Amino acid sequence: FRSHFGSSHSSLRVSGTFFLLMGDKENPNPTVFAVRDDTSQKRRVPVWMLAQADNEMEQLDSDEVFEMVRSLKDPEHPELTLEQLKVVNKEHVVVDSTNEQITVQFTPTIPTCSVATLIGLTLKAKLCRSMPRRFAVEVEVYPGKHEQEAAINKQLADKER
Amino acid sequence: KFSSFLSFMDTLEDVSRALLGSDEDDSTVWCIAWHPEGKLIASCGQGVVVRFWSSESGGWRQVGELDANEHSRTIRSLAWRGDGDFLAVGSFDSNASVFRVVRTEKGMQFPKVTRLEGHENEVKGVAWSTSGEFLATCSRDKSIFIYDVCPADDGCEVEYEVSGVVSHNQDVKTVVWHPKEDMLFSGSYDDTIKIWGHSGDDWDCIHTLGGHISTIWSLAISPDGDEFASCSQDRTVKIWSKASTTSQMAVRQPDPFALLRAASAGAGAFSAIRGYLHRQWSRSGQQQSPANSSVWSCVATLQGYHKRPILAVTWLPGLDGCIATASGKAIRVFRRVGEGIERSWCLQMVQEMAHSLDVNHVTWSPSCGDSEAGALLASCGDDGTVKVWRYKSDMWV
Repeated sequence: FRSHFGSSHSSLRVSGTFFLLMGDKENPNPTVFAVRDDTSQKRRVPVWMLAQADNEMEQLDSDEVFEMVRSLKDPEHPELTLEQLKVVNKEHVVVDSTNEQITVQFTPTIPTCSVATLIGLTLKAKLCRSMPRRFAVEVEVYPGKHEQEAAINKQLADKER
Repeated sequence: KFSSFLSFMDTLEDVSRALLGSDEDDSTVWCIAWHPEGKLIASCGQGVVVRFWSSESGGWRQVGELDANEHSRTIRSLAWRGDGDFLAVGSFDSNASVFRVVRTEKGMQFPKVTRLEGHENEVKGVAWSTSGEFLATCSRDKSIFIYDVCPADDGCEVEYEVSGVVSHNQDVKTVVWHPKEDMLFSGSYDDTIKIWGHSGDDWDCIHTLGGHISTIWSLAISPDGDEFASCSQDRTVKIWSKASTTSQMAVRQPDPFALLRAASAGAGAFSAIRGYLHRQWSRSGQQQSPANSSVWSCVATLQGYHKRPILAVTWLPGLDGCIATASGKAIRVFRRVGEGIERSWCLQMVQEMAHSLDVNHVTWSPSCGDSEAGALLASCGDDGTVKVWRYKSDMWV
């Protein structure tokens, strides 16, 4: 992970969108799901609490983590987000504050998806950049959702990759 | 502090006081290495500067800096040669280099550097043999290069010639030499540990040790060389011991799969590798029967103690059966306690927030500690700092 996304390595740029030029799409007609509109339900923090919050460690919940990844574009269908394709789901984002660990399980659209590792790396890069560094970020394939699940998970877990 | 059921107190105290490290962003420190005399530490990481730390003038502080700008990416590992005059570094830019190190009153100087090329991608580890005759580098290209270290005729220059190329099935994370023999241990992403020995010019795999269920990150051999510890992504530490089988005339065969992997490692531009393969094929009809062949086996697994992958393990010289591990932000110290059949490994000490982010490496000072002064442990992490700890125990036998 580090060797691909280190600052001096330019061949893979993490910009939140990957475009693949593919003649035949692997999954040309993916199921697109409606997106939940929960912007109106965002908690508003009173001003007096904001001042206090500066002195304490920020608490993290799975909503905030999901916010970071829901709009990432799918490599094969760049007009669609990972949320729309149900590749990332709010229920599969877990924040363990005691052990300072964030776990995101993603679901490739098909079990033979060849860009699954790429999606995993994109998720990991996005989270490592936007989450407090004290959190360990774990990105995995949702159990049973890919033929190469073990190999992909191992690659995503390797700190040096 | 941690009080065990045997009721003795172990302490791990941060003696470096001010946090040592760089101020830049992306300042992950990946590796530290103690100078053989035990008073100087070299550290490396995402920046291409190697830093040197010492406590000689009271209190730990930086005493030198080496701008390794022939490397364009992270310096992942470093190792001092046995005499402390040479420092090898391995970089993610796929090269390694060896610096001549000279300490003068004016500070540290680096009069000569030799660049070692050939790996196809990131170099992960570098290690000198105890005899000083060999240097090993390992890489994500699945191969290990073993260099002959040849002093040139005038005695000043040192040349490096590839003596062997061997490989694993996957990324090789670490290489460590045996403290007494010219035997190389390697750990890999392929979940195995391999032990390599040589007869004449040829390096062969003597043993492949399975058991871990994920990547091996680090290996630590005891000072007598009869046992070693391995730590893994699978969150366990395994202790391995040698059972000598002198009664059997075991045949040591060159590993046929090693040949295929060496070929597929793709280092086709290297004529030394072609020569090595040629020698292997031509003597495949002969077999070697060494006088005694030792078999390594796993005698203990430390399971359930670590919550995160274990990136480093180090064996304390001077104390029988004491190791430290780096996992997540914590450093743990384990001791082997008890006598005879009752002997077992026991967690002595957990320093939960040793660093504010992941700890990447821990290494005991090579100078044996004692019950008065304790032993020194250096650690480094993603938080950009190097720390030195003093470990003290009532049970210092």
